[in-house]
Amino acid sequence: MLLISFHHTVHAFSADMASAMDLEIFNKCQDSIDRDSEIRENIRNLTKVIDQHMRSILSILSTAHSTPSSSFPTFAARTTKSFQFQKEAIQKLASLASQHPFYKYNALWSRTLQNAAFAVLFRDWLVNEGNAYIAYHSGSSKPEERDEPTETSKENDDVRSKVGQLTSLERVCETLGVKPGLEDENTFHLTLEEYLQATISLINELSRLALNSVIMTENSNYSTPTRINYFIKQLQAGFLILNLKNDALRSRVDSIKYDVKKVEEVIYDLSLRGLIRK
Amino acid sequence: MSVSASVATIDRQTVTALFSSFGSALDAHHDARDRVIKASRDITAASKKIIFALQRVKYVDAEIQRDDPNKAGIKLDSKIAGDIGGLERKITDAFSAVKDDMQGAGAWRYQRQISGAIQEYIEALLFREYLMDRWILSHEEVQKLVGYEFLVTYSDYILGLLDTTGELMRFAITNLYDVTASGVVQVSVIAKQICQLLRTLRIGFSALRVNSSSHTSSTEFVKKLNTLYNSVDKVEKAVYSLTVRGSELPEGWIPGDDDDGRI
Repeated sequence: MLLISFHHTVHAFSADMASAMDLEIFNKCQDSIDRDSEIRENIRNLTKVIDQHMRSILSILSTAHSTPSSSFPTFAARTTKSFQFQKEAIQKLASLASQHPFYKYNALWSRTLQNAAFAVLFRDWLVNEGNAYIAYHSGSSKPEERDEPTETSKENDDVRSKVGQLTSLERVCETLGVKPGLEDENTFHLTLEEYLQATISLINELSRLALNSVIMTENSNYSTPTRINYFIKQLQAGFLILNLKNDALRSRVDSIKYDVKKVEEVIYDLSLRGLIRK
Repeated sequence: MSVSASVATIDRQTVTALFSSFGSALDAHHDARDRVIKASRDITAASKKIIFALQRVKYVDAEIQRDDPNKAGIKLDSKIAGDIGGLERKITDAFSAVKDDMQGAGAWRYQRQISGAIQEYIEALLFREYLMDRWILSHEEVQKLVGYEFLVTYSDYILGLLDTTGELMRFAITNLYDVTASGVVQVSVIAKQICQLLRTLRIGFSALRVNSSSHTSSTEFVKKLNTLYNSVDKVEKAVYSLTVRGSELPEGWIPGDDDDGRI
């Protein structure tokens, strides 16, 4: 009779079983399960904190749907503190996650990081759009954000005025306090797929904003929906370059066409009424 | 085209260049994943064939006497041994094909794709080793056999072990009969040993606390645990039948190939 302690109780196994298998396997197995559960629990708690800050940020940024474009930079600036808190929370997660292989627990924080990345993209887009709007409609020359040498023809001004900016993967990571991960790595990073998902979330948000900015527009200046139209179409073209498998990313990319359609309808309504030049 | 480190101006040129580089990264990942899936299929198929080959072993013919009657093992005939050898080579080749993909971050990135194959391979290893040596390989021993380049998770080991109990059950029932020198039909030693082993595993695993937050998929574990209960029941029932009715068999009766397995 062999007595093995397991689960604070003692189990009696017949002695000859010890020659057939390692009876400690049950204890080892339970330990492994318990350790794993604890790690997962800790990670989940950390992601909850990150999510909370993200929700604060998004509630501020959501006011974009009910304010004119010229105010975008102002209220976007109010998210700075929450971004800082979020960055600290992400650091905590990174410390914990770095102790384990990256993809072992990645699924537990993927959605959280994805949403955090979206918040950065949205905030940056709003700031850029707000500044572009102010510069464009104040009658001054080109906004300072453009790096490339500018043409002087009015036509090129019109084209360039449609062009928006998308924060890069590297810059999003910097804002979040995370490493970028285009290469396959085992340390904590934002994956390419998470960045792409965040970009699609931005497209979803902007199609809604296109609609609402028509309502909020001042002095019949409809540059925001026009710029969104161009922005989303360019991004859609980009996504179509990717070879996608039948996974979650693929179905979200497929849904971009509905956002494109929505914004096209806005533009159509406006141009039909002679409210914007086509 | 304008891509600074911070922002990408979203015009046609920039977008094309940007998403082309994204596309390359995604393609590399998908290719690796596809290779792992293919290797996984090959490993699974070969492992299943090994298990079928072992099930064809007639214990009474294959048994060899060793010093300790409790440890008596089998010797595989050359045909079966040759078949298994060939299948093992296929498995080794399949693993080699994805060795690089499964290094570093890849080990966990593609774990889900290879998990089933690893479990199937573990099943083949455990089954064979038990028949040969009457020993259930431990997790560490299995990891060593598979090779340290390939991760064998606790979950895969446990689920593979649970699958092995099903094969052991089948083997026990196929090799239930033993005929003594005096013509008495009785339960074979191997069947008794397997019965006892399955009971032990049942006791041990039914006490395991698996909750949904752990990596070991609890639904899969519960399902396989139920299968183990059924396996134990089947073996016990078969042993009981033979024990009770063995004396009722006509003298000189031997189990033949045309038997339907019942007494």
